[in-house]
Amino acid sequence: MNEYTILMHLLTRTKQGISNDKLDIIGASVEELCDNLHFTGKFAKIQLHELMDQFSKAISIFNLQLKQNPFNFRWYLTQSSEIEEIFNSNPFNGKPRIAATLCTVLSLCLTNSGKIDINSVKKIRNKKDIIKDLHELEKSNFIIMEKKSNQISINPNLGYYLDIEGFLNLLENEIRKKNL
Amino acid sequence: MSQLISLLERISFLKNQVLIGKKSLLDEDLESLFVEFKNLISESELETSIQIMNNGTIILEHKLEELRGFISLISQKNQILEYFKNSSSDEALAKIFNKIWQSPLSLPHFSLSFLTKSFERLVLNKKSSNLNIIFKDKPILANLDIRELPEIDKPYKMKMFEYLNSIHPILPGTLDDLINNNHSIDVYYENFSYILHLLQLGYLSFTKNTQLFDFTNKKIEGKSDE
Repeated sequence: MNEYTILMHLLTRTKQGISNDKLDIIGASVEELCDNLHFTGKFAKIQLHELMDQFSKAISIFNLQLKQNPFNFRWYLTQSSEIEEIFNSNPFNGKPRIAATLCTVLSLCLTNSGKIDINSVKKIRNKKDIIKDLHELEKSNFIIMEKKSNQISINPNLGYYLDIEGFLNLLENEIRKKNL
Repeated sequence: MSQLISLLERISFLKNQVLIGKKSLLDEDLESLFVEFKNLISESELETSIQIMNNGTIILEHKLEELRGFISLISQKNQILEYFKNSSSDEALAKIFNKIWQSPLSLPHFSLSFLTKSFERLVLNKKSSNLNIIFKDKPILANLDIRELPEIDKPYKMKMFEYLNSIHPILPGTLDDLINNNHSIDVYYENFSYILHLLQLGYLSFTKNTQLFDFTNKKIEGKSDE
């Protein structure tokens, strides 16, 4: 067994979450990686990043990428978005309305320190039965709805499936195009 | 001209383009420049390296400023609100997801010990037995005679035919006759799998009415007529 074997195991494992939603947590945190690899001391994180750098190059031939979930900061492995595009594997194929609602919620959450009011989504989307869309997104574990406070936030689970940086870049390009 | 000086010239050119506002750094791949610099740095050309570092820090400073600008653009709620309010269709927004959707690789049911044991069984055992003998002293890239490649199923076939020979005296017989119950559970299932294969390959026949297995006339592969 070598360090790559340990990394592969930790980055592809799932374990049940502690919170009430009991969602599976994928991958590993920096602390968990260092603990399992026995990297200790001042340079533990540098050592880890060097190893992950080599590892990501080694797995790139399989079209796998090493990524960090921006919502819970866990490292995990994923296939490149090009592959997903080829195979149309996103769950919104044939459901553009749900995708558009998620797109709106995500953008609003990212620019409003994480939480938004349900009414703000209703106003922007301006469609009937928007609550149905939100419930479907909640069921798919992409958003969290707080009924008492009428607020929505992003479920960290979404961070595994969306390239957030890519999303912001595309959004910025679209806004630029419109402003030109 | 050394590679380091060539790099210095490229970085200086980029810096000047940025300073006069001709180039945006947002889409510029700085990482490859710094990786190249990291690989070329040497004690003998310390002065050039320092100049590159000097220009590099200026470029980084500008990149950070541009990023800050980008973030502030994104954080301008009004622009985003306007964009979503005026967006042409749901389809246009949904298209964004096609480009950025990814699936995490998850192996939830395989424990580390399972993977290690599988690796030992599938790779190490095979390597240590037939393959080493067959490929011994032969260069990997040599023109291998294809007939010399090992047949993965050969040992199984051999065992299967040995089993067929061993049950010869008790045929025709029932399933209980053929599977020796005195053996361990592993051998029991092994013998059972031979019977299934022998039936499928046509070496054994089964009569439903009598529940008896018997030989067929099919000859065992590789055996000459006796």
